[in-house]
Amino acid sequence: MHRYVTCFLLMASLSIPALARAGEADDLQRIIEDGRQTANDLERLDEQKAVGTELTFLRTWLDRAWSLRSQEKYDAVRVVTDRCKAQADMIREKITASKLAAQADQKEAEVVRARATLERTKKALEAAKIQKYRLEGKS
Amino acid sequence: MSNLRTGSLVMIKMTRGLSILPVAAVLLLAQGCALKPKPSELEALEKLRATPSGAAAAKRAPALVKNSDELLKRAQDEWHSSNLDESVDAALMGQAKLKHAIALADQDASKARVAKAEDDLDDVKEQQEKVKKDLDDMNEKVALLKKLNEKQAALVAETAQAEEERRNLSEQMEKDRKLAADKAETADKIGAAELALKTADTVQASTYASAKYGAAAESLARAQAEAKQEDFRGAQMSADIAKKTADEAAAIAQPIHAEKSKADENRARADTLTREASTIAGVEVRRDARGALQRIVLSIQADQLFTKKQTVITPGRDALLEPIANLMKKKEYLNYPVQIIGFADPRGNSSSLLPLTLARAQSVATGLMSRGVDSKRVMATGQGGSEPLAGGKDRNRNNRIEIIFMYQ
Repeated sequence: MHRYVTCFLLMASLSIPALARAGEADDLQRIIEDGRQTANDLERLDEQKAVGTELTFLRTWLDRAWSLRSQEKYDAVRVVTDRCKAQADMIREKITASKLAAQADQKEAEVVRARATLERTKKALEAAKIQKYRLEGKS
Repeated sequence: MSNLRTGSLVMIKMTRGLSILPVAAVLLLAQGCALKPKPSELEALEKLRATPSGAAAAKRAPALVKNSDELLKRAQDEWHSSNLDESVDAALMGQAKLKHAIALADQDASKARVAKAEDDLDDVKEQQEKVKKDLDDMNEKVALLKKLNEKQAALVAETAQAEEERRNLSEQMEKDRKLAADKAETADKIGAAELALKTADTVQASTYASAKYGAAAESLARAQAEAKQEDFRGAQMSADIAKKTADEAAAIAQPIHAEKSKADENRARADTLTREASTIAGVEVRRDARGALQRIVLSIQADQLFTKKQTVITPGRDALLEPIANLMKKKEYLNYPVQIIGFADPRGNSSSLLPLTLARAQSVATGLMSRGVDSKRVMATGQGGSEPLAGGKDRNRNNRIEIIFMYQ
């Protein structure tokens, strides 16, 4: 009986890491695939094309992570996927920043146009005043 | 980077087999003795951290930047420890964190820009609205002033036009008035010329001043033609000339005509007188002339009034004087001076004939005056035996009394 228990424990101790590794591989695969999907989503969001380089890096790193996963270097994969996550977060914020910058540019351009319109209106007002004085002089 | 990659390959080979262990040991020793080149990722992180963006990011996201700084430190440590892969990993992660923080700072900056731009836009729009309102007000005033000026200009133009029309009308009226005046004056002048010509006609200027009269008639015809063509000035001049010429013609003809008329009148009156005198019984009437002097001679045989050599009218025979006196007293003949001349037959003493004939003439004159004939008209003379009318058996006719009406 003791021998069986020992055998069982031995077999269990041998099989649990294997099972755990299989679960981690799947988990990493899911993370990598999520990262790729995220990269695609971010590319679609990048209307200003402000993060092309960063996205390239992200995809390269995801490929690298996939490669490391295939080599069952799960710790290294974790390092790379963590970096990919940070890179994705950064890209998202950078896209937001670029959109805000574009919005700011647009607003500032709008201000410039409005100021130009204001200047034209002021000039028109001055011209109208002069015209009024002239007309008053005539009448 | 290539060195790092080389280092990584060496490491891999080192883990794969112990056969290359000596070589790897040598290489590791060599690498360990010399500091490997700094990974570019680490350099990039250091540079990025040193930028103003890095400083701004530290304020915006201190946790992220702190994390990044830790990673930077770790990357540097790993690099110093020649763990290049770890250094690169840490540097890349640090970059991601720092860039994340920078992006957040950029977002804030952009948001601030947007906010400022929106504020500016609000300000500008507010100003624009105010200026636009002012402009609209001003344009409205300008439009009103323009309209006012246009109306004033139109009024001025209308006034000017009305003034022009009034002036034109006035000028036209003046022209018409002048034309009418010219026409009237021309008509007056032509009328005056016609009158002058008719006046000239009355003195028969066409006969007595034919050249002038013809010229006047021609000028008048020309004046009438010019008046018809409304050439009033020419017509007036022609009419003036016509009048002047007609007046001259009349002036020339007037005395001639007057003289002729008087002569005609005298002749007619003389004819009447002759005719009336011829009706008186016992009176022989004849007419003759002595130079310019015309005479109607009522010859009465002396024996019809006197007996033989008497000088006093025989009573009962003076009735013959009655019709003669009546004739002389007629108003048409009052202007005739009357000469009473006694004639006798020239035979005998001529010296006694003159007193006889004079006495007899005076007797007749007295007889006439006693019948109302004005004595101033009567002049009695005796001619004796002069101007005998007959000889022989008719010589008694020479004894006569002639009552002579004289005229020019």
